[in-house]
Amino acid sequence: MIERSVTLRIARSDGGSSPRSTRDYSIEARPKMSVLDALLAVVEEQDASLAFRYSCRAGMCGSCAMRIDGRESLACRERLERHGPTITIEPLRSLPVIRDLLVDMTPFFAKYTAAEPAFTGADPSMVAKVDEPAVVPPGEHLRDVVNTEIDCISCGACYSACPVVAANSNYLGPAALNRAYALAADIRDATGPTARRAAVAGEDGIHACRSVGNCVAVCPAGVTPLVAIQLLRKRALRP
Amino acid sequence: MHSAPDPRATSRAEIVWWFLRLSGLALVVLAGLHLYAMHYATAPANTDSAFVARRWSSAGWRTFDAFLLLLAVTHGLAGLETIVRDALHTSRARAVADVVFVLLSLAAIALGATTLAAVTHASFVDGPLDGAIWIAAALHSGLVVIATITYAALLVLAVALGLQLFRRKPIGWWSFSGQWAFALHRATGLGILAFLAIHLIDIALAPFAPRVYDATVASYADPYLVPMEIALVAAVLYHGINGIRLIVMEIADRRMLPWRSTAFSLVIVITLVLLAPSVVVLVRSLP
Repeated sequence: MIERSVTLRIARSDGGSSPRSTRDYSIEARPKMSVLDALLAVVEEQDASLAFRYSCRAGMCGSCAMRIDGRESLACRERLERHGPTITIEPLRSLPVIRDLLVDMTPFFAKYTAAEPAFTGADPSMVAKVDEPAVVPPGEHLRDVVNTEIDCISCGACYSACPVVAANSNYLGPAALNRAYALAADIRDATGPTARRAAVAGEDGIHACRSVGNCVAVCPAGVTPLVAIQLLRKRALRP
Repeated sequence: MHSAPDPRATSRAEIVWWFLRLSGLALVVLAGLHLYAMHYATAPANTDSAFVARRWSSAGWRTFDAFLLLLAVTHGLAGLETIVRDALHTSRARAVADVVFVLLSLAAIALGATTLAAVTHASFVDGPLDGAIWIAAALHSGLVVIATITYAALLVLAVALGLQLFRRKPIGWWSFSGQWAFALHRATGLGILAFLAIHLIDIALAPFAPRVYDATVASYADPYLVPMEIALVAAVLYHGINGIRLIVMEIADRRMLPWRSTAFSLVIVITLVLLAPSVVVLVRSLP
């Protein structure tokens, strides 16, 4: 395959209230080159000051989520050949920008924490002896009900794509509520519907979702937070 | 961050959520019948004071309209408050919004109820306010202003979107069908609510100032306002049908997921198909 020239139109800023600008970088796109590869090429060859976050480069850690041509995606999984000759790259929405494409995930994880994201076993103190972990036998429907939801990699793509989060900064958001469902539907979790309800059924919880579904459209892991929220409302929080 | 003082209690958000869905389903029937009577069985410009008098001579229609008034006002204002509360982040501001919207609902229901109650006393021939023809001119001017704002907003949005696509710039959220469904649901809801506010005033003229009412209704045939009449029917149809789609999506949850975009396309197609006969009725009625 022949190399082609691609322009990366990257949002640049120093974070906070500093003005945001865009700067174009021209690179030679190799076959199967990802957006992350292209960003690394910019840093190595043109501008070492460009800031972005990445880690695994395999679509598993969720660190490199950003908006590529307006859609939230993982830079490491997004191939250049899927885009035109100019690719616009911006940081995630609804999160404070630290610098360039690097956002502060603190609000995202604060809401994640508010949704009680930790698994609580039947013996939360772990003082008593736990002989065997809970077993969900193969073929049981018990796993199917959370099969999709447990794949969340907390990248923040759904949070950025949600217009409700953009309008209401108190809204817990798709990822936190997805996690709440994954635990609420897990028969081994001992938190119980009453406590779970306290965490997610308030003014800015499950009933603040407007069923837009952008979260489903952008999730790089195929998770469906919209469905998780619908299931939380329907039955998962019933005592 | 968010508050839920008693985890067992049903939250305000949950009550509003249920109310919007149940009242919405009832409105699909009530507003659907009302729409049929006013925009399909006859043209809006023909619904003069004699038409209203005939209709309201029936206790059944008065009861029907009372329920329609109650549900349309509360559903519309609850929907608007949902949008407003999304933008209000403190519990005090939200509490103020609650009070404001309850008062607005009560005022709108009081105006509508007064109109319905006045029917039994009014002759629909002469009214105490019949001399105030300026009210018809004011309502017509108000509608022209709303129409101008709507046309300008639509033009700006179309040009902005067209430019983005023409320049091959990313359109972000607007590449998702769910975002369009959401934005259209809110835009049509706001449009219907704006019409409802004007409608509550103009229909109040029927018993109190039938000549002014007739002049107001006749002014709806103004060619500049005709697209707004069509847009109103389209908005009611879309809002109702998309509301059903939302409820079906929530009931069917995971099973509905692969059909989300198809369902939205279907909503648009059904809206346009149902809209067509009303456009024919409207165009045929033009002088």
